[in-house]
Amino acid sequence: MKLLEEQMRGWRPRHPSAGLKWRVFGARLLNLPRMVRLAGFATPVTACALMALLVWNSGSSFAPRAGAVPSALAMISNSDYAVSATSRQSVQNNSCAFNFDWTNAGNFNSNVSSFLPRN
Amino acid sequence: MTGNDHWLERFYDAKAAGLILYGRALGLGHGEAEDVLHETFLALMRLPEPPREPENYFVRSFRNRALNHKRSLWRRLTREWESHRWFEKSSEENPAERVAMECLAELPLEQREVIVLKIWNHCTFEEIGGLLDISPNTAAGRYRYGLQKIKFQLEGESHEREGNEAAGRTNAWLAAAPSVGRA
Repeated sequence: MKLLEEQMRGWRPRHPSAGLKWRVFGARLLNLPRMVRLAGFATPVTACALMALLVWNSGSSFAPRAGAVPSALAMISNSDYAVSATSRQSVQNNSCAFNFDWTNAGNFNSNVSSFLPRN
Repeated sequence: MTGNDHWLERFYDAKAAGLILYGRALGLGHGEAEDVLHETFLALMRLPEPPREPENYFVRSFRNRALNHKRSLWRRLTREWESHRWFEKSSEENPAERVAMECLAELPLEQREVIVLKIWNHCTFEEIGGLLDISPNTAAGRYRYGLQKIKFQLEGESHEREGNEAAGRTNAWLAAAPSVGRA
C-alpha cells in the first residue's frame, strides 16, 4: 500500500490554465485601494486647478505691465506676444513694424504678378 | 501589491493545482473547478482580515462552492464534453498508471475525496474528518478502502498484461515451430 501511495504522490495534478491567475489577481488590481483611487481622481483635478491658476495669474500679463516677466503660457498661446515679449526690454511693442517691415521695402521680386489692378 | 496579496499569490501557486484536482474529485469538470477556485479566491480577498487557519478555511469554502456549483443541470451536461484527464501527462507514465488514474476517478465520491485531500492537498485525517463532519477513523477507512480498490485494479491490469504477453509469446513460438504435416 505504501508503494502505491508513493507512486500516486508522483502523479502531478493538472495545472490551472494560465489565464486563471490573471483572473484572480487581475481583478484584485482593478479593485485598487482607496488611496490609489483617490490619487487617480485627484491628478486631473490638480492639473486643471494648476492650469486655471496659471491662466489667472498671467491673465493680466496679456496686457503687459512694465517690467513684468513674460509668462510661458502666454508665449505658447500667442506667438506674436512671444516675439514682443522677448524684445520688450529694449524695444517697446514694435512687433508690427518688425514683422511687416519687408512689405514696406517695395522690392518684392516674385515672378507672380500682383492680383491688384495696375494703374 | 500589499504583503497580503503576496501571501495570497504564494498560496495560489502552492495550492491551485491540488484544489482543482479536489474539484475534479467532487465531480466538477476542469473548467468548473477553475471557476470555483476563482470565486473562492475572490471571496477570500473580500474578507476584512485573513482567516485564522487559511488552508482549512479555503478548502471548506471551496468544497461548499463546488457542491453548490455541481447542482446545475446545464453544467452537468457541459461537464460531459470536457477532458477527463485529472493529471499532467508524464513521459514515464505507463499503461497501468493510466488505469489507476481512471480507477481513482471512478471510485465513489467519498473515497476519492479523501484520497485527493490526503495525497495531493496534504490534509491529515483529523482535518479531513473536520471538513467532512466524520471521525478521523472513518476518513482513514475510506482512504484505505479506496486505495485497495486501485491496487486491485492495478494488479488485475498487470496480471492481464502478463497473461497477454505470455499468450503473445506462445503464439509467436507456435508460429515459429515447423508444421507437423510438413515435417
